[in-house]
Amino acid sequence: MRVHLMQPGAAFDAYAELPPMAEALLTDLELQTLLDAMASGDPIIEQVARTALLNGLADPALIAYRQAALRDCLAQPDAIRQLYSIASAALRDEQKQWGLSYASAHSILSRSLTVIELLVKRLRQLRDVGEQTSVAFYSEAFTDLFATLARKCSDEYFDQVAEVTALLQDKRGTLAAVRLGAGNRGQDYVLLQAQPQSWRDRVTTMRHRRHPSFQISERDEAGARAVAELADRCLDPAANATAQAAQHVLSFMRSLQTELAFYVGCLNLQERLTELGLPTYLPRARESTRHTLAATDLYDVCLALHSRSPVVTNDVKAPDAALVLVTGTNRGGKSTLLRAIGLAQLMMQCGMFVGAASFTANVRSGIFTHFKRPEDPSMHVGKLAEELERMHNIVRLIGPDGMLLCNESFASTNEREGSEISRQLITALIDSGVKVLFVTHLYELAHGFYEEQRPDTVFLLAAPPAADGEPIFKLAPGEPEPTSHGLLAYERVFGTAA
Amino acid sequence: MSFKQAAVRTVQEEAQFVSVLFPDSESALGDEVPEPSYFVDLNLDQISHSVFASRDDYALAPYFAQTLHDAEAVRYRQAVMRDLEHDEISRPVRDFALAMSDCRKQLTYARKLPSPFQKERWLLAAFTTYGDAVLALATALVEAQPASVALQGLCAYLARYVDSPQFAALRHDGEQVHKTLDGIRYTLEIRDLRVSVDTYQDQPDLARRVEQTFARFRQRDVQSYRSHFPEPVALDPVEEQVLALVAKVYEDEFRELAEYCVHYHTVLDRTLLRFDREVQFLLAYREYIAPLQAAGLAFSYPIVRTESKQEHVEDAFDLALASRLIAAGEPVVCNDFTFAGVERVLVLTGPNQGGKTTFARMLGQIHHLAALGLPVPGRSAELFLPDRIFTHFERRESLESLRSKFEEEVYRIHDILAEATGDSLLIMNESFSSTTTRDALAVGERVLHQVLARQMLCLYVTFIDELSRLSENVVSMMSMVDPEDPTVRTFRIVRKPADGLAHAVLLAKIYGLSYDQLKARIAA
Repeated sequence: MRVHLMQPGAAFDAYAELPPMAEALLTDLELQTLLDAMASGDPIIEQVARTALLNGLADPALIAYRQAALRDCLAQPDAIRQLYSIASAALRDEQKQWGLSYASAHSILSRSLTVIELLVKRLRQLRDVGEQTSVAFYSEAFTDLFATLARKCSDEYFDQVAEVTALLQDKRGTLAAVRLGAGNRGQDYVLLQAQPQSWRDRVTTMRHRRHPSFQISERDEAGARAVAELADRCLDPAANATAQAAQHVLSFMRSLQTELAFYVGCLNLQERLTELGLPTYLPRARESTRHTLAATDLYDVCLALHSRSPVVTNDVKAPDAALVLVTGTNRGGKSTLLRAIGLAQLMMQCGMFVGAASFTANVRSGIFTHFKRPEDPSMHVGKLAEELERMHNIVRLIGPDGMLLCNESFASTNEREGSEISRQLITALIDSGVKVLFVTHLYELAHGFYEEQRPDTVFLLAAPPAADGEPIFKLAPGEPEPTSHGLLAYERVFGTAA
Repeated sequence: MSFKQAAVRTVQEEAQFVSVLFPDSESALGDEVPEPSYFVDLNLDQISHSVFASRDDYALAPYFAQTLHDAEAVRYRQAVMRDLEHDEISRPVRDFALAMSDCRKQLTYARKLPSPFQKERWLLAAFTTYGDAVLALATALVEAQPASVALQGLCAYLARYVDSPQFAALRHDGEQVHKTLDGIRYTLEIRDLRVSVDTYQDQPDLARRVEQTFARFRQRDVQSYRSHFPEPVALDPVEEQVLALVAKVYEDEFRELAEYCVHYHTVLDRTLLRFDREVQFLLAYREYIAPLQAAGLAFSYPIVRTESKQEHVEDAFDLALASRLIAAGEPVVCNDFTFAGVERVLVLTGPNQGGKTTFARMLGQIHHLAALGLPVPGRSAELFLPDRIFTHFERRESLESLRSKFEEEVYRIHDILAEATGDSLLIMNESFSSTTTRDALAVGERVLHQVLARQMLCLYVTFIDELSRLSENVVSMMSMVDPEDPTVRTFRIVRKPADGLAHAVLLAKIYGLSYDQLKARIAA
């Protein structure tokens, strides 16, 4: 019984290795805020969400599979939460039963039988939830799950389970087959199912042959212990099989929990964003071959979760753009927009909804960030060297279908050098197929691209603050300006007109 | 069942082969072989201890103490040792040893266990192990075609032995009994404190049924919950009673086992048992020197003679010290020595801690090891095979002795010279140092004159340069220091006229204490 809610034909590995750029993405896009909102205190959801988000899908069909499942979940949140809590409860039941490190075969067997009894109850509950709600589910992922539960957890099956566990609980005695090993010590103990004997068989057996036997005296404590150990040897293989059977059911519960965790995380996030009055949108992911990017009311989900208040949204239109160059005033919302686009791309590629009223983009094979960082306190390398080293590592990993988000890269040197380094970098990347979003104050760089008038470049300009000095955080297409309005800030602070 | 007649042990009529260590049937290990008196001085006691550390059971130390005095006997062993350098020969020999050790263990079980049914099963195991081991050894050795007289003799012996009808019967009968016992599958029923035994009648396996019932949930392999039951050789009383019931239920099968044991109880061959022990002596030494060889140190089979006292050894080293140094990852310094023409005595002088005592031990060890027929530590070696080896090393002063240290040393050399012949080797280390130089020179001269008169080979480690110039039969050697930095000892020992204080002068320069330096400093 396999659970494939995250991907057709494959189990989701919550502990899959994260790509090398994961660390930078977590930091630069402040993903922890998003993960916390999804987890809502549940570490399993957090783990699953982290893995799903950072190991995004690059195939639009796979994204659509998950989105279809998510659409079902958004329509039937109660059923999903119920299934998740049954699986989680099953795993908790089991933990209560263990704890002792050493146990005899006899106690392993009786404990495992208890666990199986509890698990069978949970399996029935799962099946029942499926029976009650399956009509409301349309996705391949969930219709498959409910069909499997109905088929594999039938009442007839539970009867079989009851029969086997009854045999194991048989208190009348222990019967095992044994072979002779080294030194004629008994080995290969196999617990047998005692054959029910008819009355006639019993009579003939008694007449023809009495099994040779001996009896340990009740006063012989050492003898009684030895008999108990012998019985343990007989029980051992069946005890092992029973304990492993319980583990198999538990591993089914664990994979169900894992595969549901992502969707429960999405439900949690949806609730939070709805409370904030913000829109969400399940975007259609486009093939990677043709660049496209368009959004309305796009916002930075993490900023919204963090500030717990409605945030400024932006519209973006960059069809066919390999390069989006963002310039403009300080505190004008450039970084926020960059993060919003990066987050939306990540969320889309893991099958989630995005923070926007509408969104579309082509999928990318990997998303990379190169954001400016505080000075390296260890003083091992200069700041430019550190930036170059980091870029060197990105270039080692990024493929032609990658996406690079740069936030004030190469600002640590003078404008001419920074611009030249950036120019050569950007040109090489976009000519290779990489999609680049570049936030910069480097006028020479931005102006140079503007002059060039490449058809695959879009320029966004952050608007200067309003007359009262309040930033408006809106961006619109526009020609790069030689000033970022830093003087305005100076004046604001010093209160003087230059 | 009936066993083929007479599983007699040795095929005696054609038995030429007796031993891998001794070429003829007369020579063998003495009943009691005391450690020679030079063992401690030459650190041979340490070597012996390390070589045999993991083979206590074989009691091999006496072999390490009993030297050979016949060059032919030395070559006999050297040839076996060379054969053992080939993996295709040493591997089967080692495997045989392991199997024979198992066999002995199984025989011990058979002897000690109280249950007759256990005893008999262990005897069967022991004889089976023995038969397999002998057959494997014979097959592999014949295939490997050893070059030594000894192992060729063993091959022929083994070939006859395994081809004998008695051996074939042992193997055939053993297999039959094994098959019979392996076919037994009984059932054990435990109800409260009553245990009964019956034959197995195809009742279904409950564990399988559990597995099948829950297979549908399987996602991946899960941990094992098997208990680890102690498996002591001896059964507990309850298990013994069960076994007795099994023997009753399977009466015919157990009778077959009992008959086999009676029939074959004296099957082990004496010559092969002797080989098993003796070859361990050679294997042990090989294992001991293997890490040294791996570290780049050379060993060689010395050319040994009794008719000439010419000796030449290259890149030799102290075996005990080297194995310590290699274990610690430190370098080993090798040295040469030669007795050419009329040279009979080496006088070794030079700075303290320069490796003189190590050189003396090395020289003694090499002669001892050569006389055991073993490869010696050195790239090449031509050696005289001495009739005896004597060492005269400093002894710690004993309070019980009424004699002074000097007196004690003179007594000791007297006793040595009384026993030594012209074919003996004498190694003297810092002898007579607890007196004035003049006395030491006088006594040393007299001793050396006696040594020279007998044409004995001798190494004399001393601080008295004059001894090195005694006659044309005396060669001077010196321990060296680094000429650039005299505080660094090189542990190199070379043929070189004794130069007394040259080293001290260099060392003084380092500290600014040479004559010129002192004058200049004092003048300043």
